[in-house]
Amino acid sequence: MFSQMYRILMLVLFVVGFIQMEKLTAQGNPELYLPTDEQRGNWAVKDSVQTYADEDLYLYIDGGADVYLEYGFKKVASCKYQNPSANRMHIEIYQMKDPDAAYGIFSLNSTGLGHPLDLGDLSYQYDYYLDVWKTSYFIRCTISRKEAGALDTLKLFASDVLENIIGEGKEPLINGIIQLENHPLKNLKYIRGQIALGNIFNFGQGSIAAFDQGVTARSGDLSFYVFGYQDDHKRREWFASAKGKMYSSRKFEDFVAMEDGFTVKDKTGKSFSFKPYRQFFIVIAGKDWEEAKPLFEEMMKNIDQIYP
Amino acid sequence: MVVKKDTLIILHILKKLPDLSVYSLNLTLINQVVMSKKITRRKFIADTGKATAAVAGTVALQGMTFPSILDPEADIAVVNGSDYFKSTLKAIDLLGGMGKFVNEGAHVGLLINSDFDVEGAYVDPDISIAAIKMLWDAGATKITCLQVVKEEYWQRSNLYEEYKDLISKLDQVESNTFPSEYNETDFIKLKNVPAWKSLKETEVVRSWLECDVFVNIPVSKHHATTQLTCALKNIMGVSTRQANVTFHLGSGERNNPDYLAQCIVDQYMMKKTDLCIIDSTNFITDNGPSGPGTIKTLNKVIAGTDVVALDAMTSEFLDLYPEDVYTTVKAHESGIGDMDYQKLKIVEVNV
Repeated sequence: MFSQMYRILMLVLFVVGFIQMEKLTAQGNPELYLPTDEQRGNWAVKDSVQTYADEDLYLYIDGGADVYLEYGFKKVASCKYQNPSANRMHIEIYQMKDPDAAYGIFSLNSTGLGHPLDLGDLSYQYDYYLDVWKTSYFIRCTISRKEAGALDTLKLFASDVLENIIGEGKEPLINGIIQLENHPLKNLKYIRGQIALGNIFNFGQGSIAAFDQGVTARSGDLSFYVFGYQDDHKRREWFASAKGKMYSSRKFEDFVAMEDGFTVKDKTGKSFSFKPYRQFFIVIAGKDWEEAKPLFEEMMKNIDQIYP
Repeated sequence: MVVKKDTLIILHILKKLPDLSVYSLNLTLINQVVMSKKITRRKFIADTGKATAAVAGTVALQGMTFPSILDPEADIAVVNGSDYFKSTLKAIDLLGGMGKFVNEGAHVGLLINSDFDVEGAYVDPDISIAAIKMLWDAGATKITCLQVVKEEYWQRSNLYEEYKDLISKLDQVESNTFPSEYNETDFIKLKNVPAWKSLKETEVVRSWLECDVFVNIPVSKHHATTQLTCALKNIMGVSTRQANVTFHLGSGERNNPDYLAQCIVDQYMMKKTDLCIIDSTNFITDNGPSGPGTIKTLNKVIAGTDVVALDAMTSEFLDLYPEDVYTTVKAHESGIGDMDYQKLKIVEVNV
């Protein structure tokens, strides 16, 4: 009896181990995560699976590959499917260099109008597509025609893909800096360079440069930006550069030096307050220096807690 | 001596349309003016600042109609209205009519930014339909879409049924669809052109260089790397994907915006633009070039021949200054056109 139970246990362990091994083998090959024939049901592969690695992404994305490469892109697997009623579905699995990069591209693609789903580490459903972030992967599933049940099928396919991806991602630490009391955030985006920043706000070509990472979000009429540098020395250098560029910018006016920071106004009279702290500098748009001060202090406390 | 066919074609084109010498002449002229007046870049920017103040004045006059009888031939026509087909007809009328640009029997090369799916990222098809109607009416015998325009693009227009016969007469460079690859029939390799500053080699659609009249129809919209994509950036639509990738990576530094802009300008100078019609009706102001992004609606159709001036003007629609956009600055410096667009005769009307 005992030996029979032992044999069953060993068999179960072997099967589980085999499945895990398969998943581990698939890691790094996003094309292996695409739904299988059994999972797809009556959705036939329309074109063969396409994969593009590194800079070949330019051959896949017509305008917009730059920003993926800026975040850190490794490989994409793309496949189109068609069902008997000629509706088409497109699944794209982007493997990024690390979870922060995948989260970043997920957040950048987020319009803020999506309906949250219980898929992956974070996911949103939009009108005719859904975006999912899980560890180092960003997954987009698109349907060409919104027929009954189509969005459920999208979710099902996304679940099939996610089943193969092991692990759990955590949001970048820098996001915590702008978590403030009484300021619920909208449109939070993690960025890794000027191309992504250019998608969100234009401070002027090269005005804010060379940062390693950053985070931006809106809260009511306010916008927050935090730019992180490799070290305090780099931050000093680039904060001075930003200060000079904002001083001479035609886009901004009324430059005033304030303590260790400065303020400018845009053409609509909106204030932008810049404040350096350790290896970061913070920009608050929508409040003048005095009004921004308590928020700066809250963010500086967050920096000290997150980066002791 | 063996002379390659491609070389002969280039020589023939340069002889027939000495665009390069014109641009060189312009560049020399600009340099002379700058030298003689000792105009610094700072002064130039300050001057364009004054021009921007003048724009504010122009904006304040929006809604006023300037009868075309008083301004028979505008340099830049701006037409406001929600019927984009009519706006396009009017814009060309303000420039002096399509007959000014197209002779009887002309072969027209048409470059439409059509290959995106999201609203605000592609040219409204009503504008393109108006353009081809006028081109055929003016006597063009052949119109070649230099980049493939898919049938579904035309079908997005309510005018499709009415004009599908005109659309079906269009030629296409079938192989120039994303991601296009070089072939000797449709493309031509250009190498080491002396006037180029950054570009070493490119592969462009043969019909672009060979056509009698080049008409560029872009949408003025956001682009993450270049800030603005409009007339100048649209020229990447005539080159192969491989060539375009070198624009992004050829400097040795990935996505150097300065290098990318200069490559675009270097390629642009290979052919004069005879007419440019810009869609500034609905366009994305972020997340470009493919979107989805925030849509700005201005309901403006703009036409002219100075693509640098047009790019400079439309950059302001995206809350940019012309000098924020590297392609505009570099094209100005290369003598392709004049970014100080306020110098030109701008006629703005409502339809």
